[in-house]
Amino acid sequence: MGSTNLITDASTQSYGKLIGLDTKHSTPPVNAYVSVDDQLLIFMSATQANIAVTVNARLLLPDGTIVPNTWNFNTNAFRSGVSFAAALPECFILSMVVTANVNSGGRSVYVTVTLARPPIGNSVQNQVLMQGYASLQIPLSWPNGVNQTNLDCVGNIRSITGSTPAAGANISETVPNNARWLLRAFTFSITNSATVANRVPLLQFTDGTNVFAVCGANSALTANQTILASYTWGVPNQLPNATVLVTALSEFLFLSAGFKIQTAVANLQAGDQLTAPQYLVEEWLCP
Amino acid sequence: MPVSHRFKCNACRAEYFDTMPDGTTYAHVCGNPPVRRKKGKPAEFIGRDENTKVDKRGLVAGIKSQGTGVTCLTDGRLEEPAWISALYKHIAAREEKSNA
Repeated sequence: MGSTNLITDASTQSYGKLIGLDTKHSTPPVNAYVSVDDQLLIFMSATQANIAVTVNARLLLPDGTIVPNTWNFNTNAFRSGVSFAAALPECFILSMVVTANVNSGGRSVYVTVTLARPPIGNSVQNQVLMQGYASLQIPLSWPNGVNQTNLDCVGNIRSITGSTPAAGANISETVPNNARWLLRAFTFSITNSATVANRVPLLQFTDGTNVFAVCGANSALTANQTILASYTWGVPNQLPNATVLVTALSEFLFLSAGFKIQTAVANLQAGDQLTAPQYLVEEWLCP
Repeated sequence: MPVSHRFKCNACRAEYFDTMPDGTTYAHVCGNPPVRRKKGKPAEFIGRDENTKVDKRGLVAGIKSQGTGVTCLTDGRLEEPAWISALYKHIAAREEKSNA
């Protein structure tokens, strides 16, 4: 990293004709010298398909010229990762930036850029240049950026409308493939039939089969009652009025792909209808 | 921004929107899995699971289970969520390209 040796004499001029480089004796300005056998390997995962990801780089070529280069890629569908390889000339990579065509509010595109030797899919990765969630306003940067794994940051906050079940059935939501969720809030409405019974709306978490946590209200619902059941962090269980039931939700229950968030209404009757499941999750991509 | 449509699962009769307001697709999975029981055989899942599955090459190969299909409640011309149609179109194009 001998930046003091960069500007020497005018024996070789850059394409801008302003600064000369002594390409024979200069010290590499950055530690990313690549040969023609090296490739740029770009791995991407996103919540949506066809999000444009752009890699911009400045390359110092052997003749002393600095050339910009741009590669464009599209994300694959539904959080499944996809890799692309880009051939490189013999050069020094001076700088590199990755942007994804999403706004900065959503951490929905995760990108890793490495230097690797082919073949793709069985490549030897030699150096991680950048990794993290990218957006238009907050690009990834090399060499001055910070590498971040897919989990060591705030997740993408998403509000999701779930499936309304058939009458007499419970709500069930499944964490999608390649995602990790932290449930922050969950609401649904329950309209009880005329059948006399005390319903207790519970919210349970399963690994797909086995229940490992249950959040329960301490109030029972009766026949012909319609109520909005709300589960969220940091509240005491309460029934503030006849139409809202507030229940504390377990914090820090991280849910992996395939895990389920389900209602388990005790004494649910065949004519009872659960509707409008809406929930707030923090989501991380786990390709 | 893709248009959101409301679908009804023919297996569990749940109703859902295929696209969220943030543009993210929603993958329906039957909650109380409908199963078919045959004597002497393990219960067979006949519900719907719209999560994607991958093949041996690690490539997306479709959704996990079609179940008994879905009915679109907002557009009778749709046989399934648009993102699933797009997914199968993408897979077909990919296979055609790899076979060429």
